[in-house]
Amino acid sequence: MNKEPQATRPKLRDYEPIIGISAIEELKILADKLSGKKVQNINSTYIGGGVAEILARMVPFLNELGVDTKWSVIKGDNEFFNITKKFHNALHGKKEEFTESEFEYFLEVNRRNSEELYFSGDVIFVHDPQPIALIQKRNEVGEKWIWRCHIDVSNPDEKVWNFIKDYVEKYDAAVFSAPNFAKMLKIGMFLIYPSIDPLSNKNKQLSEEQINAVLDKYGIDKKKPIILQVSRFDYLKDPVGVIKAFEMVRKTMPCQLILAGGTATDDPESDKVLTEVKEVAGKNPDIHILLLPPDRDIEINALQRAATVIVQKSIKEGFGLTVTEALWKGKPIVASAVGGILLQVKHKITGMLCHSIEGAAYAIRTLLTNPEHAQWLGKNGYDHVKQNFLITRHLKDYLLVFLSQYYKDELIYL
Amino acid sequence: MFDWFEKDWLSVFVPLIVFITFTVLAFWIRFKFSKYINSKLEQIKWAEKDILLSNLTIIVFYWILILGTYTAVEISPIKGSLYIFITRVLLTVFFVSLVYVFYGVITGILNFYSTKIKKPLFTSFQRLKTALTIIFIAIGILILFEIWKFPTTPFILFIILGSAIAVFAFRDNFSNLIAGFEIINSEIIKKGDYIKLETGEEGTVLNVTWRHTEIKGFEEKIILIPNSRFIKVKLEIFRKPPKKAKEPFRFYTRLNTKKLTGLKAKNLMELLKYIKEVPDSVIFYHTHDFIEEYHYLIPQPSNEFALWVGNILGYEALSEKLSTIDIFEFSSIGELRRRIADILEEYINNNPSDNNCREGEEFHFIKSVSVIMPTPYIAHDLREFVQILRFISPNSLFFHIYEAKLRVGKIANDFSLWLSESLAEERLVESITRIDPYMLTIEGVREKIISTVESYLETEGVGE
Repeated sequence: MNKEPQATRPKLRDYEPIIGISAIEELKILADKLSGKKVQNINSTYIGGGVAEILARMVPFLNELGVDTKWSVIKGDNEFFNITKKFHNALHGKKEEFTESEFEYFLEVNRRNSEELYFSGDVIFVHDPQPIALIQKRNEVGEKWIWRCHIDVSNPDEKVWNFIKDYVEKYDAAVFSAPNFAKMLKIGMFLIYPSIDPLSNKNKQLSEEQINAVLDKYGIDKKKPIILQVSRFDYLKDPVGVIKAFEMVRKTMPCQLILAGGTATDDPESDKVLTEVKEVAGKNPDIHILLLPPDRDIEINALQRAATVIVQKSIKEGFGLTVTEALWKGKPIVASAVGGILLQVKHKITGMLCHSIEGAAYAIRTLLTNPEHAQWLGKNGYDHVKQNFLITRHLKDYLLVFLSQYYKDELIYL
Repeated sequence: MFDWFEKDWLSVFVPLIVFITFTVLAFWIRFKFSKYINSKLEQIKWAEKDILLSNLTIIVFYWILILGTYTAVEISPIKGSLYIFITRVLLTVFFVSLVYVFYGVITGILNFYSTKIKKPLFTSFQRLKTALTIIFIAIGILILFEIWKFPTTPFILFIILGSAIAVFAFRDNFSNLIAGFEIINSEIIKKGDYIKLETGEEGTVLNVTWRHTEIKGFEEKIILIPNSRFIKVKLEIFRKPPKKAKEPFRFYTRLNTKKLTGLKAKNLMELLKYIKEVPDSVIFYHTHDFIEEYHYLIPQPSNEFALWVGNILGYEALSEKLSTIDIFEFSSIGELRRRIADILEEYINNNPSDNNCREGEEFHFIKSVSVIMPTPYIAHDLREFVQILRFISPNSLFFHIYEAKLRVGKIANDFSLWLSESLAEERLVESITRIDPYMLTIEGVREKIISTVESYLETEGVGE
């Protein structure tokens, strides 16, 4: 199967029709206030993962706005990245065993990088835990050091968190993705929500032909209402619960269910979940289980745009960017009241929140029988994302955090 | 050689006599008849008589000579191809001169009137003359073709086709010219007027030409509006120039970032405790964040305390009470904080059982850090003020309306203060100050202020 064509890297002016000229002007005014300051982003990889994806967009945008921005990565061997992977899991609350030598090796790689890395920024923006100990250089380089935490550290393994915290608190500020993801720190803590790119393959506008082609490809009936959940096959996303809710809805109204997503390569349970989902679905022709490879962004986009109701019945959720993407398509959404979903879905305003399978079924039925109300929710959801969760807002927040490091007041006059 | 003359002397002599007679007649008409015509025209005092006389006097002389020559040739023995050639030459000379005279008279009259018309029309008169010249040449050529028996159909087709192409290519110019003529002659739009088109262009009229109208818009921008636009869209004309403000209004914008305080409440008691302790910026954030984040929603929920208490803790009555707090009536965050705390305290006293929320659903206290920056937009008068209001960002409106009063500590919103202090438009100030921004979306506030100022301008006709 051929890979989907990648959209060419957009310029800021390409976002003008979406967010308006005044928002672009404000970004320029803000960036102008940072002129003369150099920003250096440091993380652990150029390719793969959400952080690299964000930086690949942010760094060109900042430079386009006239803020001299660099992106550097630290070097590490397999042993180092195995340790950081365990750190990652432990910070997410998973029980991991660590030896003292592992902590020492982690610090040793950071120390080596701090000597080899060329530091050029006035603002050093360090992403995630892997390069966190570079802060040891703060007396020698940079004016302001900021740590960007992209993960949920609300319920971490205390041993790992305490180890990390010693370094975090040496920074000038830390940035978290949601209030729930943060831990109490002695330094300034900023809140920057994640974002989606409206011009990416996953979110750009599609023609009717493109949408229909995807529906035809997967044999989906265009006349029957579509209930869709996009997520990897994981117990935490409760795909079985979605099927049960769907069966309840189907008793009174004809509809079809699509469960679309991939399996996580680093999750051995993924295949098991998929097998279980297929068993529960049985031979029901109205349930479509689509195992999609990671590069099927346009297909995911098309399915979301074709859906009548989009569901995200997670048991636990991070920020939930799949919800953001669904809202961006102007679709009514039924989602569990967990994690970052609560920041995006305000019950009966931008979607419907649920706490159980029955609740999800009831909400879906309500939306299917009241298309005007569903449309109103969908429109609100779209506006909500446009206002709060687009990449341009993310860019503005970065600029504001950089600037605010140079001022102490809560009302900063520039 | 003389034999022929002796036999046919009459055939030569008679045409010669005829020609001489016509020549004498021509001289007589030139000197006597023109005087007679002149005296008659003097009586009717027609201003353009000189144009008519200068063109006709000499040409009538030549026409009589041509007629004399033609009559002489007709009665002479000249026949065959020579006869045809001579008559065609005579006809050619006659018609060319006829066209020339018409052209001379018409352009002469045009020249005469062009000295009396307004300057902008002068260029257009010159263009009209050029067009007439082309038309007369075309007519002349057609007559010549007819006389010399050349086929005229291709030429006529060429003219029709050329004219059609010209009309199509310059159709906008034609409509601009027609509209320009109407505007200039009837003085619909004058220099110094303030005009506003339905399509958004507005400004003070600097000049009106045959084709376009030049206006000075916002930020001294010169805009050229094709005249035809005025007959296609709705146009408003304000004769009086707007009153200049003592101090111009500089629009600022404000962008805010969210700072976590690390404080979180899981029940009403904790919520009350922190509401009493947290900085003003936190109270401001939780009572105004919804306006920004959901600025498209009508009606907007009022504050996040009310939402959390209702949606998460399930205290519907308390939520309703908190959401009905009218923020508009408070002049400081301190007063607002006391009101929220009083409501919570009263509820807790009457309902001692206090439930904890589920884990992960705590109320997080967030601080708003605002960066306030000047925009390039400055209003010197009410019209510029409205123009800028139309496109200024929601963030700027938020700063001048919500933040200026409650957070910066001014007695009213920035717009009301400027209207009062720099323009002394007290009736307008009263109307603007009365707008409750908490009952509208930010876009609703924008529309309300614009319509209020515009209707004030219409009814009061504010000008210098």
